[in-house]
Amino acid sequence: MSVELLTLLFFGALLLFLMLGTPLAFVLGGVSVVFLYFEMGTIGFYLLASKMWETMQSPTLMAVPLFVFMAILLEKSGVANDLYDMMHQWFGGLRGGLAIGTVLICVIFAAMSGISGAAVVTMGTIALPKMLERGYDKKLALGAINAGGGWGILIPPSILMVLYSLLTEVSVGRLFAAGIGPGLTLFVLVSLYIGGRCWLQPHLGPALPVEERADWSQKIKSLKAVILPIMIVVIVLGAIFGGFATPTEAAAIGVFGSLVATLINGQLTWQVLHDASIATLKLTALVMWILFAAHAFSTAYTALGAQSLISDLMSYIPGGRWGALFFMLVLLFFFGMVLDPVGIMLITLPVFLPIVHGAGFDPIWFGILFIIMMEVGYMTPPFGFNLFYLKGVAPPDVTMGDIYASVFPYVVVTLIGVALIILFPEIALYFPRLFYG
Amino acid sequence: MMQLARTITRVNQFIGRWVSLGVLVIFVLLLADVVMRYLVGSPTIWTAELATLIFGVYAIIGGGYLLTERGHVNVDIFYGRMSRRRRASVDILTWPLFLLFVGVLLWQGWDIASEAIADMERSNSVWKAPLWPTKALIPVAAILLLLQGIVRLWSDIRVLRGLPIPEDVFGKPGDPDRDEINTQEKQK
Amino acid sequence: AGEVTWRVQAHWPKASSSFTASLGVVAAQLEEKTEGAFKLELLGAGEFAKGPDIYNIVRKGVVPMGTISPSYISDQAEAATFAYGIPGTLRQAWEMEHAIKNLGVEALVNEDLNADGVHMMCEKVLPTEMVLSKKIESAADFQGLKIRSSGAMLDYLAAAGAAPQYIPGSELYQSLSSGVVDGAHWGAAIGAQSMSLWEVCKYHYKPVLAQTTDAFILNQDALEGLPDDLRSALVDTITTRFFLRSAEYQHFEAIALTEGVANDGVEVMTLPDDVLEMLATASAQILETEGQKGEKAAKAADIYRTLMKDMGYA
Ligand code: NA
Ligand code: NA
Repeated sequence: MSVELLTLLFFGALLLFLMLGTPLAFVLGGVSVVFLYFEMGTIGFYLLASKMWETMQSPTLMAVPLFVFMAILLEKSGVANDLYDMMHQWFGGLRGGLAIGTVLICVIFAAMSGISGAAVVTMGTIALPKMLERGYDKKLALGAINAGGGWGILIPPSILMVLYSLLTEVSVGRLFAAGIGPGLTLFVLVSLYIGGRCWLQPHLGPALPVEERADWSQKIKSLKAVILPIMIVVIVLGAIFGGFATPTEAAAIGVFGSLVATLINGQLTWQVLHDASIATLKLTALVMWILFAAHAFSTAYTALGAQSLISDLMSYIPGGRWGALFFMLVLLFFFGMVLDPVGIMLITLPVFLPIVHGAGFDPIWFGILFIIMMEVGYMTPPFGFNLFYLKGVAPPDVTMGDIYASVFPYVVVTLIGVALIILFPEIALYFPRLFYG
Repeated sequence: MMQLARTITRVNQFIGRWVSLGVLVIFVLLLADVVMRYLVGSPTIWTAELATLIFGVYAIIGGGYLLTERGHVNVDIFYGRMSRRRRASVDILTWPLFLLFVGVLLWQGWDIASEAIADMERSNSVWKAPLWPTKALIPVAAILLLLQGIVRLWSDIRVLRGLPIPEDVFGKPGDPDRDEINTQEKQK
Repeated sequence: AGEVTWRVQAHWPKASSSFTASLGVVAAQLEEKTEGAFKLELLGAGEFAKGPDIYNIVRKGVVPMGTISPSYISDQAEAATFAYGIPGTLRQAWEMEHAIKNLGVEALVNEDLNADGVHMMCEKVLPTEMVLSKKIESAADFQGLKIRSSGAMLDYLAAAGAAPQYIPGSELYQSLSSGVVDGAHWGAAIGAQSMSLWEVCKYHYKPVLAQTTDAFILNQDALEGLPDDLRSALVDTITTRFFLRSAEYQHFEAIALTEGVANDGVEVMTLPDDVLEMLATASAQILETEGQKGEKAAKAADIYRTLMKDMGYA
């Protein structure tokens, strides 16, 4: 059977079962088993268990439960609530102000962690309920967190960038530096989108009525709410950039900081710790089981001949180097809908790199485009970890359908960012040149 | 039969309650790593490795517990609009996919675990961490998930036959809020 | 004659130069030699498996062939650590080639592996060297030095007073640049270059910590199931490549280091004598301990000792 036909069957089965409401982990795992058998017989089944073992052993995934735990503590201790009250008093007059404040916090969290999920779970836990309480539109709020949360892999440090440079042998430092400009660009674009949309449609992100707005003395008083969050941010960033801890260890330092904050707020009880632990286990198990199955899925697709498919496809590239670039980005977009970024990297990069070199593109610049496309992949339906994280932490009346529907405008805004970086490569390349000459 | 289902559900809930504390252990181990390196000045080589091994167990063993909570994420665009009976029949229809995944995981995980136990497998780090206890828990996690999946299948069959599915036996019965929303929407 | 295609799971990333120059060349030569009858389908690290698990998928026959670092199989074969390389013992690449192929270290490893249904053939000899962000002028500077390390090298560095620790590869660059650790070894010059370590560690230290190897592993059933002509084509290609690739690799090491000096401002340093003395003591100790693993390990340790004595190292 041809690879093209197998691909249709493989992803067709995935979509069919997803739409039937079967949990993602079981769909990905079950479909992988069928296709591994089809390609290699029962001998291929071993890969299912060995991929699980490999994923269990990943030292950087440990940051996931730590960030979840930290977020839940911040929520339960009232720290998050105070912070959003403060933001509302200061920016309450601005339509969409809370959502813009949220994506700003996403930028800070992106610098605190090397993975995509950290900001999504944190903001999904602490920011989403606060925005909904204050009358923000569900989709506007969900999408903002989905988009902003993904910046963890674009703004340094970034695990995915390290993997990219390991596979392509480009400088990690330059790639890290190249992420700064595009990260800030996306922040500005997303903020402009939120601000503009809420300015046109005030009900999406309502401003505080004039009579409820705080006067200056109240505003100043409310500032004490930022002391604890800033303390946590400072010790985590200080630990990472001061050379005290790896990004994963820094997540443990963040937990320490939020325990202290909870204690200061007088909320540190066994009940709070217990509830936070249970919620953390649920979210971690949810994500990890999907990840086990997703890795098996990528492996099965590799066995079916994914790379020869991509190589075949690349031979149809239209229109020179820009055609090639466009084609690669389109492929990444579609793969991003259904595969996990690590799998996409392993499958596509070996085919793409010779093309990138052949076309004379800067591999650092291409790396940034690649990373942003992975970020888009994290948030595009049907398969995207940001979506699952968000579903895991959102209040029960938020359905997967809501989350899926929320990402569309933010994907468009992010792709506009990609276009800007293609038109103005300096956005990515300015900082590497500044730091490394 | 009911007693057996209740036991399986309770075992998974019990495991979930205790394993959830693993996040605190991981936190303490990683923090200890930093403290030993900077405050004590003698880095420990085993804390990070032990934390990774504990994380591995923590990540897999909660699968069955998550199923008692109906917490495995799915796409609810169509599923969410179905009636309770329709959902139960769709779940029964797609159950073989679950069985394939978890069954093969159990089979192959058993292979991995028995080999690791036979060799008393250790890591090739200097600490020579024992890997076999973590590997041995792969088939255990698969069994826990598989058993809970069987309990779920039975609860779906009971729904089709119009029998009650008490929560203490079968775990969380789907999403009651959503059921209500569905009913309201239908009445409109 | 029917065509044969083998999947090969490498422990190198697919886009790396090692992958292309090692496995890629073997695949091309084999295809040419057999006039297209024997093809290799190459998988980069992690596509099916990575690290130590590559041994398992080859042993079980999920894929018939793979590449590993012999350090992955120290539990499977008594003499594996000797095939990987003992820090502070052999100094030149040719000494290692000689010990592996002529003096019988590889054969000792295969005594154990063959019982497991696997056959190992070394791929090349490569050096391991350390890069540091600090200058070491005396044994005192070496005390408490935080070095990212792994395997046998960890004991070795600790014995001379360093404080080795484990940092995952994905967080290594960040940890070196911020100062969580002061140095690391990742291969030697080529490894440091591919991991961008020189951007954050300007001192490249000689002498080699160890001469080490990479290796091919083959599933024996699959190997025996090949038609005679294809089997000998494969075995001959790999055997010849070992010597050719080892020599070529040394050349590339030199080029990489020259580039590092020119482009990254790397300074090539030599460890001070008092540090070297402490390392030598540690090395003798490791050789002793490794040799006690069993009869085959003892034989391998003797091969090392004899060669070192003949070279005037001990
Ligand atoms: Na980041
Ligand atoms: Na996606």
